[in-house]
Amino acid sequence: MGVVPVIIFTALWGVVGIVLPFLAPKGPNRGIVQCVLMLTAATCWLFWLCCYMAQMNPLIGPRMHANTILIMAREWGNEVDMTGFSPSPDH
Amino acid sequence: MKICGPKLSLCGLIISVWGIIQLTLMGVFYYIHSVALIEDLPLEEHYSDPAEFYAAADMAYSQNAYNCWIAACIYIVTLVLSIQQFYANSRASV
Amino acid sequence: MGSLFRSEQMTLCQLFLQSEAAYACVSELGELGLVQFRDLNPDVNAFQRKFVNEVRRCDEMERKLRYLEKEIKKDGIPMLDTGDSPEAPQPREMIDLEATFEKLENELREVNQNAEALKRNFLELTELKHILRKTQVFFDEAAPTLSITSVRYMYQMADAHKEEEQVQLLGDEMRANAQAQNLKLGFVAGVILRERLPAFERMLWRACRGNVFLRQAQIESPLEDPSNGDKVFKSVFIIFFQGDQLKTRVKKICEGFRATLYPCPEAPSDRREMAMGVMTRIEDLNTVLGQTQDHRHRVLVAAAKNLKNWFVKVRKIKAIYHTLNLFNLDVTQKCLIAECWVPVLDIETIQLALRRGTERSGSSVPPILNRMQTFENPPTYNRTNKFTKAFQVLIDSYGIASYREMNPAPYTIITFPFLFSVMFGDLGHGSIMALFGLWMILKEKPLAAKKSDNEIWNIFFGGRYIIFLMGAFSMYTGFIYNDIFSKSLNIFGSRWRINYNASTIVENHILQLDPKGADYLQSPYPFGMDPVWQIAPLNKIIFQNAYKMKISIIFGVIHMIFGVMMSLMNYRYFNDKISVLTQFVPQIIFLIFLFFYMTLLMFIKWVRYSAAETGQFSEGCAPSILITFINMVLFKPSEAKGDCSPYMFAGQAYIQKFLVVVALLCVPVMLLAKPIHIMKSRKQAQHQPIMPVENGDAEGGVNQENLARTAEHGGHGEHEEEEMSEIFIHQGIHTIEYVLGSVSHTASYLRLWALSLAHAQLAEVLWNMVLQNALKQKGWMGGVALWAIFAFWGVLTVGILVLMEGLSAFLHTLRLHWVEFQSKFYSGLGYAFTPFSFDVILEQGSSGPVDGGD
Repeated sequence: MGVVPVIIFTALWGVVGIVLPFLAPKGPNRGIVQCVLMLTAATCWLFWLCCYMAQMNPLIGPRMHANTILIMAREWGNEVDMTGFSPSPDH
Repeated sequence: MKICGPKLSLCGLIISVWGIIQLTLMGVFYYIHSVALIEDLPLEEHYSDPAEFYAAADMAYSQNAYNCWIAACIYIVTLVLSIQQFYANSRASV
Repeated sequence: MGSLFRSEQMTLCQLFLQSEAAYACVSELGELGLVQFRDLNPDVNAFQRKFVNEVRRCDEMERKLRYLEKEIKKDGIPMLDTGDSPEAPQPREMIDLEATFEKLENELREVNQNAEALKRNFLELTELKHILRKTQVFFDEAAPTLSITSVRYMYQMADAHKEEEQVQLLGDEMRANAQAQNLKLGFVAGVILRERLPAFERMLWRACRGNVFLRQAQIESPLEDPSNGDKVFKSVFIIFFQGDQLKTRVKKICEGFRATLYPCPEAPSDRREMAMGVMTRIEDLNTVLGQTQDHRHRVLVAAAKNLKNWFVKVRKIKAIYHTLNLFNLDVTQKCLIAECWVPVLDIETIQLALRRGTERSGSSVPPILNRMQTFENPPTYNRTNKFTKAFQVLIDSYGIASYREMNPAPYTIITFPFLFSVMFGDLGHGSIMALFGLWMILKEKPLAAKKSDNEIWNIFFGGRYIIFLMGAFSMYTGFIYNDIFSKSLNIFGSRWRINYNASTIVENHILQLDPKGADYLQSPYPFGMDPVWQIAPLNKIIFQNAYKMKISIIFGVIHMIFGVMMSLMNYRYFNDKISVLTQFVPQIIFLIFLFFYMTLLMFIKWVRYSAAETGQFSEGCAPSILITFINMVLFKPSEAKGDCSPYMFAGQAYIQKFLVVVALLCVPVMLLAKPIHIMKSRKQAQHQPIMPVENGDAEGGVNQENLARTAEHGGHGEHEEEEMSEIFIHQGIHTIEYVLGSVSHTASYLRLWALSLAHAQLAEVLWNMVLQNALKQKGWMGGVALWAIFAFWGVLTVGILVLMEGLSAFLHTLRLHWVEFQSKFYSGLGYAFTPFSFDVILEQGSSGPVDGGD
């Protein structure tokens, strides 16, 4: 599961940075086009990778307000377990 | 009939287009209860009962969605006005 | 190597031109724009050169054309600008052109003179007309109202008059007598500027002790001042007085105030007659004036059609003669000698152009282009296109590259927008910027044709490709940061879940999700930041700080290593093996062993430490990388806290010691190796005065390389005999700069973190402070409030977040490239290739120099 995105995005940027430079149009600007493609792929891939790896093993979890938690629970799956809950009368 | 100058009408035109696009999208996001917009709702800080909160949130979500679309509609009017002014200006300058 | 990675190879050439063919040849070269001529008579001042006369004639023609242009602009006649540039005319055509301009100028001046005289005449007549009309009113109303008060007033003035007359005045035939009385009073009538009138009146009163009587009336319609065409308001006045003495005094005062006096007949019938005459004359004048204006208009319209064309022609001729002035005359006077820098690749094209020039001039002897050997440094010429030009400008504004050294521009095309976008990452702001850039690119031709004088606009337009790329990359990084106007998108589905039950949530107002358990799905969000962080305002910054700080160091170190690798390319190109060993190797070892190792630690920390683990690799044990690094450099053993080991992997302490020791050993190598080598080779050279030719292969293929080397050596020719102590000091400075620079530059890349954090925070603050006011409105009025507040928010977003933050991120990126990146390899000691080109000359002639860059 965790490997699939790595493969997909590495392949994507690999195509941009390795395959496309071979297909660059011939002419005086071929060198520039190749350089641009390779650098784009390298920087974008590394940027994505860093973001991915930084979240791979999170050391902390997000801290949120009750409202956000409630709405997140409903919208992103895992409906809140309401069993045994009765609204307190003081509110 | 000219009311505003070429720069102001262009400014109005751009903001109208931007407003239509963004507000329509924001309306859609409110409509589908986007979690990212939870803090942009007129809600209380705390609710003692989740059911009560959900009811209030659903209300607020759809209300805000409609408000966004209303604003987008007003921007359509602004857009039409700006376009008319823009053409009036460009015709006057030729 | 392709274009732009290094500057073009240049060669110095000697050019022999037949005197008759020189003009045509230089004209062809000007169209080509690939040749930079050198001044061969630097000691001769501008007035003693050969073609000074022609240059002066061109100046004169240009002056006439400017006069014509001014007149055309004054009349608001559109000038035809086809945008094409006609070839420089033959020298003999110059006389025709001169004659044409002379004729036009004279004609125009004559017309203008006539028109001015006519206008002056017209003004006088108009003023007279007004005087006659207004004074008629004075006289008319003077007659019946010359009763008691005004008559008494006059009586006092005229105290020398006979008593009978006074009696008569009060009698029945008052009207007739009043006129008779008037006749005895003298008067002058005239016109004066309205603003002078009060002062004039006061002056009259004082100078004549109140013995004059002034009436005035305003002329309602403004009159045109013939000398400068301004509209002025004037007043008609009439002054009554008695006696010649007063008359002269009044006239003097009128003169002093520049009032124009007009003869005004006393009898009403004469006045009427005169008014009639004036009217007919005004009508006649109007017709004549109209014809004059028509004539002038015709002349100018005809001139406007050709004016741009003429300007181009004259400027070309002038440029050619200027260039010819740089040439040497050979002894026989038959031939002009020029020296010029040309790109080696273009010699063929230049030869062709020269041949064309010779053919055009009808000369039989072909021009000769000889390559010369030189020890001078050739100019730096980077062949750019409209896309690469702006990036080259960014590099060149730091310093023109030395001849044939690595040009950072091709790499800057991507690294610049990328580093910018790390600081500016926001999908919304990025798309605004990208759309603006894209619009300028798509509308390139019409926008370029407009030639605006607005400097800021020209800067934006020159940098349109940079702006577009910066916007596009910001969209990508914004996507990764998951920021769109400070909100997030949940496209791939967040990896965090809620497992708390209702009572926990209600009782605790704030809860933290636990990355250990089922709250986290144990695989990260596939593309970018998990959207959950956006809605966790309480510790989002803690998480993002750690992430952004790390990526800024990672990219910084890689950027610097890239820079050092470029220096390797330079050394290899210039065949400088010694510098590879004594400079590049220790430098790269120093950088990799210390700083790249630190980035590796970051990756190791990301991979090994996890909240899901227990013991050694649990979240509580994760060591701070900065502390680890500092301890490593200071050889301080890291202390274990509790059960946690301060080390991330086995043997880390030993590896770190090894790395630091090797890195530190590199410092003396950097410091001493090269000077010692130079010292040794000098000693050897003293022992063996005749050195064998070092280069073994005597093929022609290495010739160019040799040339480059001689050029390189030539540039430092004077330094050859540099004192040894100076070399040591030089090297010492370089080493200190590099070693300290590595530390400070690494820290300097933290600006990526700081700015991106500031940008994200500012965007969030703007959203919460402005737009949220509308979104938190209850009820239906929220829609209208949203409409108004959204516009305000939009203006602030563009003004503050896109323009101001964009500018600041741009400047920081520029600094990162100029200082942190280029200091590793770029010397920038060259001078730019400034070819003789008509395009450039015409561009500068028509407006100020315009160049790009944001």
